[in-house]
Amino acid sequence: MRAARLGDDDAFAEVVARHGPALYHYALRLVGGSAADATEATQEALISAWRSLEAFEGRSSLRTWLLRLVHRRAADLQRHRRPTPIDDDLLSTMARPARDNPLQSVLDAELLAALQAALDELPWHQRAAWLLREVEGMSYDEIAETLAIPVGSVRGHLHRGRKTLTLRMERWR
Amino acid sequence: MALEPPPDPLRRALEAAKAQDSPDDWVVVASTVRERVAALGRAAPTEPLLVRDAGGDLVHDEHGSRAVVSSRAVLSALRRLLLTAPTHAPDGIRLHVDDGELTGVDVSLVGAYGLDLVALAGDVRSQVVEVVTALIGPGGPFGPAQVQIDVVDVVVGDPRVT
Repeated sequence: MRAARLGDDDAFAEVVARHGPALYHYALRLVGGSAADATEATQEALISAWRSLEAFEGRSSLRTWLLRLVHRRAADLQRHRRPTPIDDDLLSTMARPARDNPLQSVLDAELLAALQAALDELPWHQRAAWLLREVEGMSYDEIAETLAIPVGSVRGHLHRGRKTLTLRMERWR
Repeated sequence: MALEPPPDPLRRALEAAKAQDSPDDWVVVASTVRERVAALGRAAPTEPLLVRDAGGDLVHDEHGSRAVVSSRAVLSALRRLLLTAPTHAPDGIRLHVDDGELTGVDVSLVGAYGLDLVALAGDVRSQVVEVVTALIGPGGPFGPAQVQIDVVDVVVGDPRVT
């Protein structure tokens, strides 16, 4: 990290190798599975990180900082490509419990596809908060830092996101 | 025999998501990032530094062109130097250049707890002079007095990995 901050591109390559896959996964799930958007968000975030590493003061962890950059880029893309405001209450889609009842032992791929579909229906901040908490294992404070929102809002988004996802995934029980 | 109920589907999906390998696309993303980083360099501009021999004369090649060394090469050499020992690590390196001459090097260091920091700064100063003069020659305005060493932090353990 110290070497990367001093402009060592080999050291930065190690940072990319260590954190990049998680950043890309996060972007991919956040933007609804679009590889093109996830690629753009991750690339631009990492290039931005390289340009501003010297200014990184370490007030948050490197991972939190990188995820924040990815989140911002992904949010920018969503704003430009979909005319939808990032407002949870306006966008919230009520999820209905599934009527059908598929077999319990489904393939992971199908389950993941169902999860992505359910995530896509979540409002932006709920989706992001759930991914950061459940997949990335971040603390509420780290999520607040990443999303630039108060911790109390993180709790609210997470609560509503979990509730909706649980309902949407019920059909796979 | 009682069967355990299956875990809730959201939990199963979450476990599957966590267990997912990097998508194939990631290889392409990483490769592109590496290429762009290499092309960009860092925001600090690269400057040519004049090379002088022990007598202070400019060094020329066989075609009569002045020999210069990129400031980036000097920074790179200093980075490598300052990351070789578990006693310290660089927190910042700044070169001062005036009209093509290297006139100073500022090094911010993080030292390992328990070291004699004054002795450490002295050792590092000598090493910096040695590395730099190996690149730009010994005859310019640069010398030990132009190396500023600031120990900005002390950490427990190897500073290179903190």
